[in-house]
Amino acid sequence: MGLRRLSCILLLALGISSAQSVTPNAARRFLEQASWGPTADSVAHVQQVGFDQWLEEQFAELPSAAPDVQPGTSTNLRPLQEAFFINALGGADQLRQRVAFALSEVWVVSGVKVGRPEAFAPYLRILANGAFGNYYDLMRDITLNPAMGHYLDMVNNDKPDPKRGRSANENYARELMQLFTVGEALLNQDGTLQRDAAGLTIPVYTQDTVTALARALTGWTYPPQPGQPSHTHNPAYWQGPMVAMPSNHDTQPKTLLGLTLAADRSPEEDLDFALWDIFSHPNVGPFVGRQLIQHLVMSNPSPGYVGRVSAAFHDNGSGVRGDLKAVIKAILLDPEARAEDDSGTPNAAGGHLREPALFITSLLRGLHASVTTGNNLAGFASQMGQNLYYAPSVFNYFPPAYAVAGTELNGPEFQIYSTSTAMVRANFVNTLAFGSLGAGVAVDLSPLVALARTAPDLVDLLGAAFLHGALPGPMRDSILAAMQKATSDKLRAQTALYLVGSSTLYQVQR
Amino acid sequence: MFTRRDILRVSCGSLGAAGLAARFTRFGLMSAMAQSAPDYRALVCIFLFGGNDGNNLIVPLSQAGYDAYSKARSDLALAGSTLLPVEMKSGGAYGLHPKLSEVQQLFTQDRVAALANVGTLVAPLTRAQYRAQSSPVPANLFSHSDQQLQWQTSIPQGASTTGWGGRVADVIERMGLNSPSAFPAFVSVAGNAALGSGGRTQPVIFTPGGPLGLQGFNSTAASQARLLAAQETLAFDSGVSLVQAASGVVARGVDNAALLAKAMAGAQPLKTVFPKTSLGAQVQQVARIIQVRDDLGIRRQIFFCSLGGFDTHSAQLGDQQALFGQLSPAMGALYDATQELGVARSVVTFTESDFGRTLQANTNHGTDHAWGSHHLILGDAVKGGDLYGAFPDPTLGGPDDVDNRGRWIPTTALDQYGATLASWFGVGDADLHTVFPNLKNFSPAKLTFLG
Repeated sequence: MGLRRLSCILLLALGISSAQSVTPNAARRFLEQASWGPTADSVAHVQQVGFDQWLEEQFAELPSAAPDVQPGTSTNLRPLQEAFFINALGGADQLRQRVAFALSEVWVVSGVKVGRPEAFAPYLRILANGAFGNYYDLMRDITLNPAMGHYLDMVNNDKPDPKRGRSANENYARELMQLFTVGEALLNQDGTLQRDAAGLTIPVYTQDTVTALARALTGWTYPPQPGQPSHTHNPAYWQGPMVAMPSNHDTQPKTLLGLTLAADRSPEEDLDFALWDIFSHPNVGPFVGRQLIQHLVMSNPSPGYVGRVSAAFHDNGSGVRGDLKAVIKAILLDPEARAEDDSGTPNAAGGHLREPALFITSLLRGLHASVTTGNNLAGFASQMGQNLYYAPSVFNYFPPAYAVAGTELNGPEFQIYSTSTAMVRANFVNTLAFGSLGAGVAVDLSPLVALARTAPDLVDLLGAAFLHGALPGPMRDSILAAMQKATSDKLRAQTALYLVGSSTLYQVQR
Repeated sequence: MFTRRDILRVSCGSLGAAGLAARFTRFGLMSAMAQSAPDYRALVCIFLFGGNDGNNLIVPLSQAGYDAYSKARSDLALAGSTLLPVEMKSGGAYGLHPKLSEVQQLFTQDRVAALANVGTLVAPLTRAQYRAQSSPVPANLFSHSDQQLQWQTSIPQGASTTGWGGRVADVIERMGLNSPSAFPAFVSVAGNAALGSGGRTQPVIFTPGGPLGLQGFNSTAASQARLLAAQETLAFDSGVSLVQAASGVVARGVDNAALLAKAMAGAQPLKTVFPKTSLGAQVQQVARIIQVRDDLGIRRQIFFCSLGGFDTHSAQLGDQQALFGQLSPAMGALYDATQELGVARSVVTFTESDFGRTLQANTNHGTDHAWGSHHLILGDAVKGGDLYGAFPDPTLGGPDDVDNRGRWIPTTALDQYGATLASWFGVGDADLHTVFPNLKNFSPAKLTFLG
């Protein structure tokens, strides 16, 4: 160890690090997966410190501030939407934001029902703070978050009332298992489905499990407002975790996935046992790991890739299960994620369609745009089918297993890529290149215009900035041919930007 | 795919609105054909996302029926006096939800029928079989995502890459009913929908208020050159399947937007007033496309609309009231538009939803995921004013209940519901079994609410 450490110090002293092999295009491709899009500065920095060190730096970055909107000042999430784009464009905590956003598309709370910023912001802060924490803590924090409690009805969900013929609300119990943790069918650790002798998939739980878990999670209400006493059903309040109300808790025994909860336990005990029971299920690693790969790297990871990420979920190397830092490292440093960094041969099943939020931020970061309060980027994303923080349901804007027509592949984001929204995306790039994206968004194309006289240089710059250098020769030729017909440097720059930004090669991050 | 020649003919601001002369010629031909054979039929699906509570859509008003309903529902029972009464031709008094006034009016005019307790099934099933797990059941019952898909694919055993509407469109294409129009038979005005995915045919999506094609092009040489380069880039084979799939979506978007923009160019605004809601805008878009059916040269169309928010686990009474307050006027306006266009006998509108909901309430004044539910079918071709299928026995833990909360085992299969619609649409009996592979398990294959 001493020798190794010494050699590291020597290498650092000489200005040489193990990162010297990171090419600019490899850094760009890595940053397409790990940030809201590469910039000249971030590329240079990754080249300087290398992937591992960059990840350590990012793990240490504190969350960008989610704005504290005074209760009652906004009846919609617009202030949070504006802040999302401001932070994505300028925040130093790029990886944390990407992971937190991915988690927000797994643990969905939607503004359709939770539409006030003062209710929604605490939920976003849990995701930002928990992005590099342990998955169990995230499960517990979100489960007790009042916004989630309201969204999926765990708040004020009381024990069954046989006299009046009412059962416990099954909403949160079902989606906690189906969407947030274990999924519906038993998985192998590599994410493939287990099958029984007849070739059928094997359910993780039954309706009886849902009913029992619903009862285990009864007896919680909103936190009391400051200075107010707690009641059996507190009025809506969004700061801090929900509080237990034992008189509303079902104390009968419950049979869960692996555990049977004994009678007469408190709401807290039942909650802890139930969450631990779920967290311990072998499905969680492959179920969550595969989705995080899909959000960051590719829609169709190989079983081997999923298996390596599941292993990191199960054990971070120090015997800890659920360490998200280990999971994220495993995702981003996996050979399958890095395979095409400097290679000309594309993986036919690789890549994932950029969802609208990522498409917009990547384009703007690549152009070093400045985004401030009052921006309407959320309006553009909404037209593209992604009204930020307003997923149509707890099933997010798109499902992990969305089948892409004409292929054997999954492409979650293709759910919202239709013949209509595909036009909207191209037209957005048209507006970006030839018009204005409105107040709060400043794009300076003059660096591109300055290069436009030497058209090949400009095309290669755009190919590097937006396609990590993987601009195919025929596409380059087509763009150059179009630029020849343009009558000014400005028009040449606009033409090239439109053709790169609107291309399907750019829509799909790969 | 749009061709280089198409691209070069672009001459005005939007590619979609531009003239594609090669296609114009065919258009003239098709319009003439359509006029000589004015055989037109359309199906309009309104999908109620989230799982609509059918128990409060239509309620039995017989003394015994209402009492059983009211007892099981506790605080979610609708007061008998507020229900909108409808008398079934085949006998029986029922009440529609108080917000369904347009539907009630059309019901009493015999233009709407109700289908009771329909749902996803592999084969007929009894409570005893379900409890003993001795007979196949749909995969992942009570799950939104799975049941939404199964209602659209009619393949309840698991994943399917095609929807039943897409398979119907495949049959229509093979029969040549829309030939030679290049416009797809399946149009969604509510985003991508599994219902419309065919084996050979793909749907097109026209979101209300969305762009009809690519913007920002004009007739200058620079603009034309940029458009050509965009097209060449689209045609380039990257070797990456998802890129190729995205290119296919863009090409179909450009092509079909051009066809629709051309067809709509001279269309007069409809006189029908549509509700200012999302669903209102969707059915307006449907009506505007039906209006130009002859210009599109098309004789069979399937439309997909949707309304979300039906997952009423809490505070159901107010939420469902608001949703039905959108559904009913939109259905009414769509019917009025078909009258205005002279196609009220040629358009059948029907509802689908993830599943029904528990008859028994939960402690949050809501209901939880269940299975079979009641649905509505609208149009002059419908033998309306009647209830089809079998209304479930409302006993909790009774013969129609999965457990003891009133989760109804469907007594009519989605396959029978869909086959009835598809048959009226023009799909022959042999093809019905290809479109609905499990139809062979149910008798009769077709119900009597149409034809």
